[in-house]
Amino acid sequence: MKMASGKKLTRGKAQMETMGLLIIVILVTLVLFFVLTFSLKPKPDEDTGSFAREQAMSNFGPTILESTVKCSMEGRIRTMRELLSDCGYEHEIRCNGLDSCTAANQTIVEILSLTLDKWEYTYTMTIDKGDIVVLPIALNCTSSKSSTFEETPFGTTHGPMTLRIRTC
Amino acid sequence: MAKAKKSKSGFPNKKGQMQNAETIIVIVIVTIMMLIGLVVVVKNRMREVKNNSEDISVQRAMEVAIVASNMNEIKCSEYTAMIKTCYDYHRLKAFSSVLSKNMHNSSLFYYYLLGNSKVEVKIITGTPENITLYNYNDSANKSSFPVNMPVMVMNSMTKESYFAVMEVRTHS
Repeated sequence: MKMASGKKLTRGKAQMETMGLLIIVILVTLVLFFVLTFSLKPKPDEDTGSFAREQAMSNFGPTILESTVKCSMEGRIRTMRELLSDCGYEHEIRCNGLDSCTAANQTIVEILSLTLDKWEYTYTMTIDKGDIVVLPIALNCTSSKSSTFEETPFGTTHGPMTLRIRTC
Repeated sequence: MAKAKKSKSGFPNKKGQMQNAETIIVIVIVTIMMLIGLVVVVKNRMREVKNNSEDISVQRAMEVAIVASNMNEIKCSEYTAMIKTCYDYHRLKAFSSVLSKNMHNSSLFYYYLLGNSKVEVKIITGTPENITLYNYNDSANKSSFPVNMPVMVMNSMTKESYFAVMEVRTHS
């Protein structure tokens, strides 16, 4: 009788231990499940941020083209559009002793250093005449993946030109 | 307190002690796992809340920027057809002056349009200058994510056009 009850007790204990192990396994699985669920969850969409960036970039080109530069002490004012147009075709304009390409480049670099550089954007900006790059202002994008891409075409007396800005 | 089981030799039962230790280890491991799970869940929730509040702040700033950039009080009269965002330098200065002095209860009027925010126009080319158009903050939050919008500021007297940035910050 004693032997039989001892055996029963041992079997009961073994069952309890198995149950304990099972509970531990279930808990580990649950924890792993939660961790994986949270780590594999897709990042929240960046619609708002990218919309703000797109808004900023869409105005950038036209605003640069219409801004002016004082080209002489007498107060001769030239628009960036004029300088870039001359840079692309004629090479006649002198602005503060500089040729049109250098003057335009200097002004745009100054604008970029106080805007896109300050906002920590990585960007590529070029002034193109068809497929030919007339003025490579910044070539910071190394990857082909773009965050925003804005083209601002502008007409000159000689032909069309385009200001291209790509952020990445 | 239950006394520890003693073996026939009078020493405490080693098997019982082992089993007790086993139970304690299991409880410790389970508690650690639960804590790790809790930390992960809380961290994720906090990150989500932060992202959401930043998103809301940017959205509100975008709304204010759109309202501010479409105010006819400060727009250029000639160039609006050419560029959608051109502001008259003298109108900006006058607007800023009127609002800063709260003339004709103007702050209250614009509060309904722009709320708890700061709208600034930063002229970059020519002579750099910051013109604060509107600034009202009655919340504890002193800083927020800025929304920047490139705009053109034209001086109608000298016919110069400056590259400028409209910076909008909202406080909530």
